[in-house]
Amino acid sequence: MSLLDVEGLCVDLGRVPVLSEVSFSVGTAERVGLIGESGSGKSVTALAILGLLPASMTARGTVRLEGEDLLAASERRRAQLRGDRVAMVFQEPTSALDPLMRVGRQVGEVLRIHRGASRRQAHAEAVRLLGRVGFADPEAIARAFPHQLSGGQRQRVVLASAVACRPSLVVADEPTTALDVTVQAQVLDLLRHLVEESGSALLLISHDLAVVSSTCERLVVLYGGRVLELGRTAEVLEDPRHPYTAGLLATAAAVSDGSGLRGRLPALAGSVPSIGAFPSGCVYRNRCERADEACLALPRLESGQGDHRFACWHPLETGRAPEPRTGEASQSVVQGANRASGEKR
Amino acid sequence: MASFLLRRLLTLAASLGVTSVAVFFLLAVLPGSPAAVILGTQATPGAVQAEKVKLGLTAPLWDRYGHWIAGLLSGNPGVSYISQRPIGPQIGQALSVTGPLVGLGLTLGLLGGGVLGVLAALRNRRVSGALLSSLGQIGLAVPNFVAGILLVIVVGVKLHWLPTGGFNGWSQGVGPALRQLALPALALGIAEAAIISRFVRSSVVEVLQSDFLRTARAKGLRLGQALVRHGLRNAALPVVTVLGLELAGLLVGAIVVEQVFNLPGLGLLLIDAIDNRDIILVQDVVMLLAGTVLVVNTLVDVSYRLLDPRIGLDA
Amino acid sequence: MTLPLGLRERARTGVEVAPELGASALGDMGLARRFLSCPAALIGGAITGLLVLVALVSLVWTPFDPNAIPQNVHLLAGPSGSHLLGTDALGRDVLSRLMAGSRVSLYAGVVAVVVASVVGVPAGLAAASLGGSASEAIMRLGDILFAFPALLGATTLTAALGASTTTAMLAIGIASVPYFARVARSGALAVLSSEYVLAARAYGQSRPAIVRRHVLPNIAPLLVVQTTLLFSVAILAEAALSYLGLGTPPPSASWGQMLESAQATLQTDPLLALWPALAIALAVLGFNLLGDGLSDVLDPRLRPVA
Repeated sequence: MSLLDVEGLCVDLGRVPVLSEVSFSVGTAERVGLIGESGSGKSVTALAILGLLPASMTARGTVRLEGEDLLAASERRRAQLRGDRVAMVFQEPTSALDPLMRVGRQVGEVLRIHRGASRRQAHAEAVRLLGRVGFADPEAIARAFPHQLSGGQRQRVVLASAVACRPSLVVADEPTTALDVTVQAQVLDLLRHLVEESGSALLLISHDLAVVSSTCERLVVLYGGRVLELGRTAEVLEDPRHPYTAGLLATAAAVSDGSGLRGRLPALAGSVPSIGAFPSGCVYRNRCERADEACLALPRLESGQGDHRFACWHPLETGRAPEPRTGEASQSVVQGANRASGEKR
Repeated sequence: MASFLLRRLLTLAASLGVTSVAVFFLLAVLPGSPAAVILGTQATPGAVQAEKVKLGLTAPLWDRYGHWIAGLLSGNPGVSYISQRPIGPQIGQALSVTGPLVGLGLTLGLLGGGVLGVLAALRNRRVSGALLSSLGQIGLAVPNFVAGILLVIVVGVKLHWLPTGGFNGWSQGVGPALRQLALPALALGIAEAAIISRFVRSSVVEVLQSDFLRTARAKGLRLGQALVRHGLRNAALPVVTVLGLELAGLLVGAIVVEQVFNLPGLGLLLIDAIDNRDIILVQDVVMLLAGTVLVVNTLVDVSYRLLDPRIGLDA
Repeated sequence: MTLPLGLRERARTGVEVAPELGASALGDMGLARRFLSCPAALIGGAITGLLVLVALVSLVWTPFDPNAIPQNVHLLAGPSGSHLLGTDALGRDVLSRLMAGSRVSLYAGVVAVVVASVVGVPAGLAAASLGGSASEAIMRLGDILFAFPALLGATTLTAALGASTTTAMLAIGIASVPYFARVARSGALAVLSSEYVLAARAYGQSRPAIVRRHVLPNIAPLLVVQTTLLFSVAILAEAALSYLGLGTPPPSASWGQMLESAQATLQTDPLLALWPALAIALAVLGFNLLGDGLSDVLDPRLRPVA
């Protein structure tokens, strides 16, 4: 049994499907990346796991955390688990913090909710946590209001409150996207460090392949509300089977080594349809070079090598790069990400 | 901080100055003279002139203005032309009615408006929310004196639950006095609740969509708890900014509502003074009301900056 | 009065406007469709339309003379075939007086709107196009006026000049000047900073020409909304002042005055107070709904995000 088991998760906005049959799992202390373009349903997946979907959306399927089905649980029970067993880091550190409350209280709040800590205990623990996320003067930060901190500092505050209860799972939704490029790597490093330290698993959601591949052991590729491919990071990057994954890789490589600036960007053709406008059958078929009549039927997730699985009628052949640069590309993505995080440390 | 307060105080002083000049000179061109009212319709022009001299109405306008202001600043609002009684105690007496009336009206308005607004926000885009909003629209459309008359008809005349007019002072005991103020305060409070509920609603709707409320829920707070701990504080801020204007509305509303319920407050004092051409009393009451509004607006401005850590006091 | 609410909400919350869309809304064909699909605008339009119709009819016909005190008196008669809503304490026909009162209410609105827009719009436009200390001075003056309760100003002015509808509404109009000035200024600032005005200036168009051709059409929808809302404020204020005996002087019929005289017989004839009360509430509701609806219809961007 995995720590987190998502099985056949479907989310509808009214009658429009946003997520369809999404299944993946996260093992104990494992780091899994959920990757996809905007509109692919990444954030909705995160919110569905936490039980924080807006009232206009409904979820079906099962989301099991340590064997307990969260979708079937009562709101009271889910609130008990949120912040304690599963914590969330949002994209916008600027708006994620209450502007009228001092930072220390916001960090300590989790402990007051779940550990019954007194005001004083919560404050002391909050200061300790703020120290752990790298603030040189945590006492001063605890007394500050959010607007007095920079974006990177705020996100570190959010991280501190996320790991306060040593949750078994941290869900991070684009945790570095809103930050300056220079602090992105620092925050990412810190996040990895923190989850390792507290023994938490990490579900890292991002549109940025470099971010995910440098951090995560396994990848889940999401598109049009469906899982197109998933597997160990190295396998997926070196041996992508789904044309969409290959396209993502090629784009990322071109951007990271600068070749896209010189020549044509080997970009994914077309743009992501809006929710509800994805084609029937394979959701990617209207942008896919390999699509034919077979793709009118919905492809299932097929097993490849090990636990490498993909949903495609015309997968790229294993071991062979779909496009000349892809093998090299995936490595440069990995290396680029590692280099970036290494330099900033 | 100091410079902000100083600037705000200077603005307040300037506004009070402009207001006092406007009020004084507007009323100085009053066609009827209190002298004529005192002496009645049979008086000869000579007698009226003599009376004017006696009342000090023949002095140059600026001298009279200076005299009035100097009196106000030293806490002496003068002596009524008509009744020849000092105005200070009269205003004090009237304030003991109008003050509690406005206070009760504001309390009812804030309570009712707050509850209605939060409910309407939580039921946003549902039938019950639309119903609450329409209720608010109707509340807005019924002015407080009309609400007062309707209350008199229903609660007073038909049901005989509460007294519908008059006020026998606080010496009769707090209970009976409050009973006499209940309907007038309700009349003021209904319209006020409708107004405040609209501000509260839009403010809470915004907070409900905010990221920090989602963060609070991700920490393990349930929606209600998150709203109480984080949401309402944030939602209250924009509502605070309108409190000054609301108080102004209530003070003026009280003038009319006092007429409906025959309460001896500032409103009755003002209307009687206008009828009697008792200029100095009119000046005093109008200045008191306008001054209160200006001072409260300044206080609201300053307190808003104290409540919101994002706005520095030095700005 | 506590009610320049719609006006106030917009001025305070500063629904900041970049009204290019508004102008096209005035011209395009979708306007009628949007109006018809907006319940608030529709209901408000129907109520205010009815009000205007009644006022027009009352100019040429009312069942009885609304003001003359009849000889063969039926004092305080209940509703009957000849007097549909009964008669008042002086034997006058209540329905006729209600109809005549609608005229006073609309007149009050017109006076207030004319004063507020004739002073406020040029002041706001001037503040926007002059900028600098002139703009600062105009807006500061507006702030002082903004804080002064409108009805108190009206009371003071009628105390000075004697009770009259026009005087009272002059005061309400003056008190509403800042609202119009603010809307005109913020709208004009948005337009003046736009690319197409820059282009017009590059072509050598004069400042007044730019204001006439680009700014005014663009802020027109916003002013329409303000105007509608000011009507409801004015109707309320007129009623309140007439109720206090500071507005429309007798014998001409006004709803506020009818309420005042009905109050003496409230114990025995509550219906007499109910009719003018309903009329006031309905008129205010109508203009409020129309104003709210129009602001949605004329500017789709002000609508809450669905």
